Amino acid sequence: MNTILLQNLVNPNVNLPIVLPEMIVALTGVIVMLYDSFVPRQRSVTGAISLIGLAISAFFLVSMWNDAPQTGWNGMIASDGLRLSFTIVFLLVSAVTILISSVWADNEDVPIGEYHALLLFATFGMMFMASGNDLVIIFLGLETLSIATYVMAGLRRGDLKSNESAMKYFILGSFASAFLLYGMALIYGATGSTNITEIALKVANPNFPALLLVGGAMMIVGFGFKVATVPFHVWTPDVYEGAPTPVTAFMAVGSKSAAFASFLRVFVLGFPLIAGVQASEFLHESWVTALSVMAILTMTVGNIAAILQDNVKRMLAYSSIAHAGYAMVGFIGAGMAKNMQQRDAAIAAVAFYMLTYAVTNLGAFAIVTLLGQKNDRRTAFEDYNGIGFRAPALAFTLSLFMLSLLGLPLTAGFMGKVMVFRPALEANNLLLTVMVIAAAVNTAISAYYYLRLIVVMFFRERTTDWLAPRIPTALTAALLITVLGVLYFGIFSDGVIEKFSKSSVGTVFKAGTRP
Amino acid sequence: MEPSLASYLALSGILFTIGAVGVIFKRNAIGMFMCIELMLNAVNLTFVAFSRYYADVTGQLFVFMVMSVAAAEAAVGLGIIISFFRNRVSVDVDDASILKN
Amino acid sequence: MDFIAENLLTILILLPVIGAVSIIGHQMFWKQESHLKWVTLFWTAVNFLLSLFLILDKSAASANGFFFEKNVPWIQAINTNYHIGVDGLSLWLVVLTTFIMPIAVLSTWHAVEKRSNAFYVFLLLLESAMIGVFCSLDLLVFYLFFEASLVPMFFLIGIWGGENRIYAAVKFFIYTALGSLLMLVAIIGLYYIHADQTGTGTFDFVTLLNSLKTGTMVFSHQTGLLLFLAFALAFSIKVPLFPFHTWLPDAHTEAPTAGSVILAAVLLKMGTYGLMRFNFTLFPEASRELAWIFIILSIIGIIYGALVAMVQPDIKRLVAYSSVAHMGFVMLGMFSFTEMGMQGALYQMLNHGISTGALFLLVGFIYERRHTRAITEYGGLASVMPIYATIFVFTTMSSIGLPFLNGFVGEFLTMIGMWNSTAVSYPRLATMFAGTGVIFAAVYLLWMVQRVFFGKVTNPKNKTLKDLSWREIGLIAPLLFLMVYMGVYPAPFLDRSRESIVAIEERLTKQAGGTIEHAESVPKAVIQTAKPAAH
Repeated sequence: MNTILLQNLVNPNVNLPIVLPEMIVALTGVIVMLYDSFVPRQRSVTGAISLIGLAISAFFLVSMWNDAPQTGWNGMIASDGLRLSFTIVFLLVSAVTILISSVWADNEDVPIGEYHALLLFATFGMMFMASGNDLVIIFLGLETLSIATYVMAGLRRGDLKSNESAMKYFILGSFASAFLLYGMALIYGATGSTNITEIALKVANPNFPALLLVGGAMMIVGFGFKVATVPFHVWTPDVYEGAPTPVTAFMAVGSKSAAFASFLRVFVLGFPLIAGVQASEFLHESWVTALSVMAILTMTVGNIAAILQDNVKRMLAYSSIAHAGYAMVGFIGAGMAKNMQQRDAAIAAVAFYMLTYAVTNLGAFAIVTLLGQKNDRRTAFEDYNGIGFRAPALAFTLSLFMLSLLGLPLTAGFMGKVMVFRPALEANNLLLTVMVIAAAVNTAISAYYYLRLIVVMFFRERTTDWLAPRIPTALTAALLITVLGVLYFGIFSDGVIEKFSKSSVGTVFKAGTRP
Repeated sequence: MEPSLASYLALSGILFTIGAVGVIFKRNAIGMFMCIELMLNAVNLTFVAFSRYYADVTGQLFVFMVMSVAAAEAAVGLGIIISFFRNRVSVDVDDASILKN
Repeated sequence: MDFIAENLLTILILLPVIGAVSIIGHQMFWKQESHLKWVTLFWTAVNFLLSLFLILDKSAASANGFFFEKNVPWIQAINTNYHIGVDGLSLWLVVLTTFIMPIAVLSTWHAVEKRSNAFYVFLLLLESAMIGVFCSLDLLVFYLFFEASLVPMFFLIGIWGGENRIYAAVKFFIYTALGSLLMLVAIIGLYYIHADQTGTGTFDFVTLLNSLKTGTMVFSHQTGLLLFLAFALAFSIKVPLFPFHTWLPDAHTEAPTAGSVILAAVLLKMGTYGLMRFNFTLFPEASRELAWIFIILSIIGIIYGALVAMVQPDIKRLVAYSSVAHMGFVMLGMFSFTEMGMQGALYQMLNHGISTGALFLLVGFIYERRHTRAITEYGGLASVMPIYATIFVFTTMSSIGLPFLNGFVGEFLTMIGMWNSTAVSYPRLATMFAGTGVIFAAVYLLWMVQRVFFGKVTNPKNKTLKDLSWREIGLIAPLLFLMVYMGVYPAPFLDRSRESIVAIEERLTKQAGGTIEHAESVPKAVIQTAKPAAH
């Protein structure tokens, strides 16, 4: 052990360019923060700097797309299909969030420069969650993300709802982090390593098999909180409702995808099934079963609770819980894959699902932000009564997003669902088939509350005065991106799916084959 | 006699449980936050114990990370609690109820 | 010209979408809402004229047995293709769709006042989705159009419907979505079974069918049944088969006239079409095994629909329940598994589209005048509106199935088919039960006619009603013509569909792998279980 360490110290495999996209985002964050402290309250300037930084980062990320999977920093960073496809989703989410929040920054007094800097740091954390191939990196990425979002949730300092949201998020978030960390400590104890590649090799013959199981369970609790799966979802509706709407959008889409990225890496790649080895078979079966049950519960509880909501933001919060359940269907499909190709395809499917969910949900939140007015006062279903033909463009766009969340064909949501259902059915396993059927039934249930918004907007008459809001330029850009995304990923998804599946995850990780 | 690995693990397990139970039952935000700190320290103890058991520095490195992150978390967390206190004049989480339907 | 002939189906699907875009553009630049109905009429009429090429073109079918076939890769990552084509089965349904659309547009001439721009956009999008359903030969593309047809209809009912429209629209959507989502799971399941057994997964109907025929892909008994049920549930809800019919009366009653006409004429046919096209050919064993369930349910539907229709106080709701009964006949003919029965079923689908569509139009006419549909509000209309009364009685006769009118041919063929069927053990008893449905239909329709049109004019509001205008007569005239034509000379319709129907029949009565085994040798056990059907 010591000699290996010494060798690494003498001749470290740093591979600096591998983290270039992350570094650019972090650097942009620092520049925005400095700029804001010297020239405060320049919302368009800090916004523009942030967008440029994200674009440059995306450029470098895309230029790495065709490289073979590689590692850097002594195996702590992995650049593979999982990292690339998830990271591009994060960059997109971050950019669109900046565009959306321009509205909310216009009519309210919030420290916008700090907000942009925090958003970039959060993005930086998310990116490391996707590229981290070591528990340390995943932990650091997660905390960078979490701490930044705690502050963002409470950005409206004078608003009690925002305060409350931040406090709840902070306490439950760090509670979850503690579980995750304890899980990491036990995994380290069981295998003697924090590197996921080494853990995957050691799973066949762990030093303390029992600790491995307990550690895995603790990590499920920790990640379960972050992804907001039932029964660890209770914080979600309160936090999502209280936080400023653009931040809610960011949390619902960004934080969730980031948590999925590391969740996938730790479980699918870290705890693979090694045929014929009892310890590994038992571990694998345990987590697949536990997650399957959680997925079914998550979809069902999320959907049923969403039906009961009277507030659009809360409805979208519960809907995001349900969507975590659908994404888990693909996740478990990846865990049960029969070979490396199937596994990589399933991981790509989950990433694609998060992409489709991101464009759809960001678009929906963009309109909710606009219609919410100052301090998000107008977010109840009644506030949408009969606005359909007063602001037809907005209302039809929101309807499109609702139909995409529902998963109707020709929208991104449909392709996302088809992609995640595929690997689960491919596994040819009773539990997984039941899970897919549950997902299908749940989708039908979810029609009720997604349609409700359409019903309220178009089929009811408005009794009170209402003026269609002016749509600011930045928000128009955000809506354009999301609408085009919803249609493009729904109709011409071929190219994107191919890109996502191109860079395989397989060559970095040797384990993970089933008999 | 030098304590064995098992005794360290048992201690950290107990500390973690006390912390977790505290978070669930405490009604005071600061108290809850301190319980979370307790949980983090239980984790640190586990890491250090295994680090010594394997004679491997990774665990100790991890502890440094946890400590610095915990410090950052404390700064942010106390800030959030204070701003809540300013608006509410209470740190009791039962008062944080306007978001419940 | 060559271009049109090459891409005829794609043009038929896309033209309404172009029309919808043109309406949005027109509204943006001219803001003349009164033009929109003309624009819509233009596009639907062009689409109808183009669709006539489908009938006129008698050139040979492609190797797969389809005309105007087109197969373009769509999403290669999941191997799904934009594969479209028509055969004798779908050809008439496509033409029915394009034929009914201009009539539906004409029927809204004065009825839709608010937001007519959105109304016509949804109408055109609906047409495109409906044509897509009947043409697609790729299961995923089929599913896509199947679901896509829901959204415009949802808006049509929800915005322009009657008082209870929201309930009806949401119920319509969720019922249909639930069924079709399970079908989606089955479709993806088929993809993997094919991938497992042949190495490549596919959504392509023709490929799947060929693999099944040659035996390169086989299901276990249980899998076949489950897949069959998943497909059948989606289609049964759409038909609607008893007991999944409850969305239909609500949707029909609340929908605007054009919506009801399209719903009756085309949307319901998607269910029966889907069963015939996909269930019968992909899962012939399961179809044979479970036929008795569907036959029992269709008979219940026929009798139940008729009985409930009898007591309806609302004319539109009465016609809606008569739809349940009529679609029961279609199902019965299909599940006889005989050439004649299935030909009759297809013919009955067209008849139902024409007769019931006409009935909804006629109800719409009177509703525009009086804004009520309660039977008790009327009485003695024959003396006030003689032309209207004549046409109404004529249409009723067609719906009842009077000889020399279209309904007779369809019902006669389905009943003969069922009489000779070997799908269940007591086909003759089943036929007799169904036959009582014909009598019931005569009772409730004629009773309604008697209450509405004959006797004295009791309600003073009815004394000044105007008779039909030239526009109204003009739009119903083609339907009346077809009622007579199809009743007197059905040969051209039946000739054109025969080949496809025979192919389905052969598929149903032959085992996979090509060994010929006629339906008479359906396992005894199946026939035994079917016994309760007869009693």
